[in-house]
Amino acid sequence: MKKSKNIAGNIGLAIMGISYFGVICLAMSSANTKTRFLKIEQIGLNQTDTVTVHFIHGSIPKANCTYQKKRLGGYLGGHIEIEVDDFVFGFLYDTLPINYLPKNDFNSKFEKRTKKNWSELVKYDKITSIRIPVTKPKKMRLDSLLNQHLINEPYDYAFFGQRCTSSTAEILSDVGIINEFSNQESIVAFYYPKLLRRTMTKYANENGFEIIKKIGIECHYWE
Amino acid sequence: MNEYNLCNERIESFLKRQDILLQISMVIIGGALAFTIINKIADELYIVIPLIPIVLFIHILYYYTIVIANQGYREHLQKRLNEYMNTDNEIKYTSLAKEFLLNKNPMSKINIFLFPSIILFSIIYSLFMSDLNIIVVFGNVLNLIVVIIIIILFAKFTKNLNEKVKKYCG
Repeated sequence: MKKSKNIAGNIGLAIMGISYFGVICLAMSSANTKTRFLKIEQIGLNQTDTVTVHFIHGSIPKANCTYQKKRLGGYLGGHIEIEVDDFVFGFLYDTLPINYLPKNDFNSKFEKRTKKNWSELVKYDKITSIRIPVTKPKKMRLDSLLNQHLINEPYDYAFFGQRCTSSTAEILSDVGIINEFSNQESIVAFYYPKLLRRTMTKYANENGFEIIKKIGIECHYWE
Repeated sequence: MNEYNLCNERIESFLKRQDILLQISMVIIGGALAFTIINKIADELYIVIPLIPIVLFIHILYYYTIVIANQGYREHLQKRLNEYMNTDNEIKYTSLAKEFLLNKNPMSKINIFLFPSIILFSIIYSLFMSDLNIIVVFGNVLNLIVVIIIIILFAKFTKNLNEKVKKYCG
């Protein structure tokens, strides 16, 4: 009895230790990605164009609310989209439920909407938009990459994989608008929209970028 | 008598060590709080703040159990020594320490709550400053579980430890 109690205690200790180690590794990896993000130097020359990153906040509708649109993740959820030249691109799932782990049979898609169409769709949502100055070639590369993803989605939408936040970060990183990081790093550091929004807002404030805030419908609890 | 003196030294050295540890921990915790208020750091790094007092807490509790065990041993030695003394020359410091410096001392009782309070404060601080970052929240849940387990194990182990040591020494 005493021996089995000891073994159980040691197993518990080992699980605790592994969990601690895992959490610290995740925290350090994520902090490293974000710190590098915040330290990118913005060179003002030639940045004649802008792209806009739209962060739709997560929310929970109140019981009596007529606008009952729910997004994946509820209060901590929301959505992120990139606006390039009057078109808004977003990465999301095809059908529900989403996969827990990425599969080869992708349940994902990229969407492209005109700004007018998109504005109508999100008119009741709380949105934080950040306008990032970019050079013309970078903007062209971003447009081309997003259009390419529309035809061939590059990865699956999964709970422990790429989602709208990490995908946005990864795309911006690929075209050189933000720092370079791997897919895994973007998944860990930008697991849900708030994580990228906070980092990008800090970055925007430090570099004097324009931040536009739109309030959402009152009958939702907004994040 | 030599053994009694050695036991005294062990206890005193712990108390000195505890003083130094408390001073160092106050400097580290204060420094960490000040640094994170002045400088912008990535939210996930706030997970480190509660770890500092938790490590110190474990270290201090470990030495505290040593003191309690030594106190029991010292009490046993005192009893043996007093058998050879007449009533006027009896050694009473151990009983005095137990009576007035440990169990009934209000400051000693406050000390028990001091470190858990610092840990609780640092957990709340890290959650607040990280704006409820999911990794920090998860890390702090682990921290809380660890602290609760430590307190339970410590209370279980030190309950009547003094008496157990005396009984063991015969």
